Amino acid sequence: MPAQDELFAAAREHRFVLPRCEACGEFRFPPRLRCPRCGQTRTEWVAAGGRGSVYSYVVVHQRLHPAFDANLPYAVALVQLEEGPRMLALVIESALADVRVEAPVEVVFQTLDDELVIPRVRILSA
Amino acid sequence: MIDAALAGLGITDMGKVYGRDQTDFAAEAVLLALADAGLRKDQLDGLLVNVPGYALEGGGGVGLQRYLGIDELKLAGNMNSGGATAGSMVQYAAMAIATGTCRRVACVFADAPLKPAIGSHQAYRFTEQSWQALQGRLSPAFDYAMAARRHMHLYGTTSEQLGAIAVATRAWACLNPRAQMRTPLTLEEHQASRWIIEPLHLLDCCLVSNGGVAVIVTSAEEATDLRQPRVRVLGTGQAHFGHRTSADDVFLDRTPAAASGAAALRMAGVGLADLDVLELYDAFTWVVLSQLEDYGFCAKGEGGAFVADGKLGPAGHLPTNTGGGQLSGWYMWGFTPLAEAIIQLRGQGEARQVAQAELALVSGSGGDPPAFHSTLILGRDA
Repeated sequence: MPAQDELFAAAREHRFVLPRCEACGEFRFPPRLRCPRCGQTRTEWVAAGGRGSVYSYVVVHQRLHPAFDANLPYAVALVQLEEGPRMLALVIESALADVRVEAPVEVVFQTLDDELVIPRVRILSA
Repeated sequence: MIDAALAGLGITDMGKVYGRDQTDFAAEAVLLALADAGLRKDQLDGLLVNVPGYALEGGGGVGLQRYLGIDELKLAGNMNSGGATAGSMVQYAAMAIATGTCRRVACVFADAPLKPAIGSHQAYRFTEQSWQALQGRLSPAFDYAMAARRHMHLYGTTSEQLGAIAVATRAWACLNPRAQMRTPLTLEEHQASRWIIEPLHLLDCCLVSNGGVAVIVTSAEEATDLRQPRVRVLGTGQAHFGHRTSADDVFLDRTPAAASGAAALRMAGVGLADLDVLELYDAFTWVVLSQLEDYGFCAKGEGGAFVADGKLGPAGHLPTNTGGGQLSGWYMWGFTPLAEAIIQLRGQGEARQVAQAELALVSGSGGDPPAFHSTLILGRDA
């Protein structure tokens, strides 16, 4: 979707960017066209640190879609980013036992194919 | 002041019922509700339809109206605020009656996601192409598991405490011949059931059902002359959260049940202690826990200990989800708790009838994560 294009274009270069409202400075996540705070649509994409902590998480055991078969069981974290917004992200390159609420994480990039590189997170060891 | 009553209730065959579509389930439910009330279809002048993810031919209310062969209505439409829809529809119907717009409004839910070769998780799988789906959020259970994990972290709530809700609800289901799950359940069996989305076990998750349910809303006065004992709508309240993307500390912790419940109780002029029976939306065990807290039956964070003693079950002193709820009865979104409250207040609960059931609270909770909420306070004539 258009509102997310910048994010995935940056991810292909292993850069993590977040959309911020040019009018009021509110971050928007997931990316969307119109600011939920002030209603404006002008957006700037700012380089973000990709650091945060786990606000909550789940471990998916049920097969929901074949695209995730290789990951089962897989953890998905709701990450509190340092910049403010919360971002849902598949946890990779981490042991399930290390996924805990408040655990520190950083964004990593998973290459699915030439077109699609997806920001994920991994748990930072304490 | 609200002056409406639930005069008719129609429930179709429920569960793995194949070979019929949503429109037909909805139509049969409306016809059953009319017959229950002693009304003819040409006496209806309003039709509010809640059929999830699917536009009936001709568009919502009009499509069902055509299928039912009702010539003319004054109010019709398809509505969807997730699990909160049932209570909201009854509220809108009551408002339409209060303003003189309508005299008799049918509110109906129908769904047919199950097919012989499709299991519950496939039937209710998310399919949208979104950021969330890309990260593996592909089921409604996902957000509720996320909320349950947050609750466990903040308050020390355990899976066994969530299991106590499933066990109490199953005990009620065992007394209801319409319930889909009627084998007694132990806490050990709950714990041994496989993970769906951890920390939710299979038995923390509701059923998926094919079927339809309808109610007929009339004025309180008219309902006195109809076939069934009158169930009055005494209070209604909606509340909805529009979580912004930036951090808010109540996310996944507080639900709009607090504001919705307070509004409905205020309108009815009653308090929590006056309620005889609770019919709470229970798509997942955590939903019951969070509502008990947010309505104020116990303090925030104390829901786990509150339910662990079995007080929600048939032998407890807070009868809750007396038909087996959505966890063990049948899943018709907000019409599961609404239908059971009507049955209890009419005194038609047979083996599961709660003694002196005069005042009931019905909740509806929807949106993933829980963002929409409706509450009804219903009462029988003394």
